[in-house]
Amino acid sequence: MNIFKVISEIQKVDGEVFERLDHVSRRGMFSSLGKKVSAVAVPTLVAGMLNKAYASTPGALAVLNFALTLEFLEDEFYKKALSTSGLIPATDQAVFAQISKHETEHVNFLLTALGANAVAKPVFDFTAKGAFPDVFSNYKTFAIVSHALEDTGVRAYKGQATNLMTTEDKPLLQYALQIHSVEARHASVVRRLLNTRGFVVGAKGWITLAQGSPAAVYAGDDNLIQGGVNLTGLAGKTNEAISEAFDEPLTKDAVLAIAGSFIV
Amino acid sequence: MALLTDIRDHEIIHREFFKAALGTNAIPSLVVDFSKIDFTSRDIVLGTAKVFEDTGVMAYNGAGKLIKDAGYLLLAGKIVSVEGRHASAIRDLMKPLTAYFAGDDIIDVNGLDGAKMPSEILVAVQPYIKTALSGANLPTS
Repeated sequence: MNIFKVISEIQKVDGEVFERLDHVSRRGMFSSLGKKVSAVAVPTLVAGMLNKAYASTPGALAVLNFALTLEFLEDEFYKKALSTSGLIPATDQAVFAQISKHETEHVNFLLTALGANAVAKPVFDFTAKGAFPDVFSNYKTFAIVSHALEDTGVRAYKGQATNLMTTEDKPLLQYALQIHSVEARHASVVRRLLNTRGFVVGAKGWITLAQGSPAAVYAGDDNLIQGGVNLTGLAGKTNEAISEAFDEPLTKDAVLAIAGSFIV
Repeated sequence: MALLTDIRDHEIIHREFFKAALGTNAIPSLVVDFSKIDFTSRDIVLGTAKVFEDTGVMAYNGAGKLIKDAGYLLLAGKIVSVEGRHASAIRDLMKPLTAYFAGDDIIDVNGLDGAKMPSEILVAVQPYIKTALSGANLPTS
């Protein structure tokens, strides 16, 4: 097994492999290849490195630590819910197990990217200081908090994308976008469950105007002005449809106010 | 049916928004080729919709880093999450109440959705479009 041949092969499908390996090597991970690594382990090792990115600029560290705080919150929320017997009906376990798996993966991914710069995991209060007292004993309350956290996550990542535009941060921008759309998939499936379980009749996978609870999570999502153009009446579509077609960002402060209610 | 109508309307809104925003710089309309799609089969229609939505997500995710203007990047972000919501809903219609809405077939072991460069996306969608697609004028970095 020739490591350079392996990298060359990867480069055929991943044009940025050298850039990424260079990025990784500055962190010293590449040096481990100099040690005795079994030939079988090399592809796994290289593949693993390619899936990692490292935050180095102050802007990126701030964004990723902000994201990590949200992922810590979501990860612990679903782990607690799934380990609480009788909360999530058997019919819906597979959906929440998949969401939980992704949140754990996001936490680990961000921890790796941040290394020693990662913030500590906060202590959480999922009742939000008493606003959701039965969050782990009433499935409806749990599902409502779940969709609010997912929609907040979507809006939070979206709001930070433009803080990852420097050349050095570009790989992180893509990773952040790749998490962002997963959070959107989560939000969609939970929102649809809210409807099918009769918790929020008429709830759709997408956000209509600024409808939803808690209100802070959906504030401003009824925006109809995109790229400086007022889209009201576009193609004869309703304001509801136009607002659904665009998800709006939330500022870091707005997200921290929402997430902060779950932090002790 | 209501769900697919919603998605259709969102896509029309995206298209008309881009046409309005691009003005005379917009590409001409494309001639699509859906002749190989059996529209009498629910499974095939949903399966094709899934491919389109997942591809849309990967396209925006991969193109984000090529966008130089913060306003345009944010706009792309506003649209891509809606495509992600669509993909999730279509997938959940195909295999309800399973992990498929964000399945291991599309989300990697780091919990990341797909991302592809424009050149890869154009190849993926060309079978559905009669008009020849070219990405020659697109940035690659």
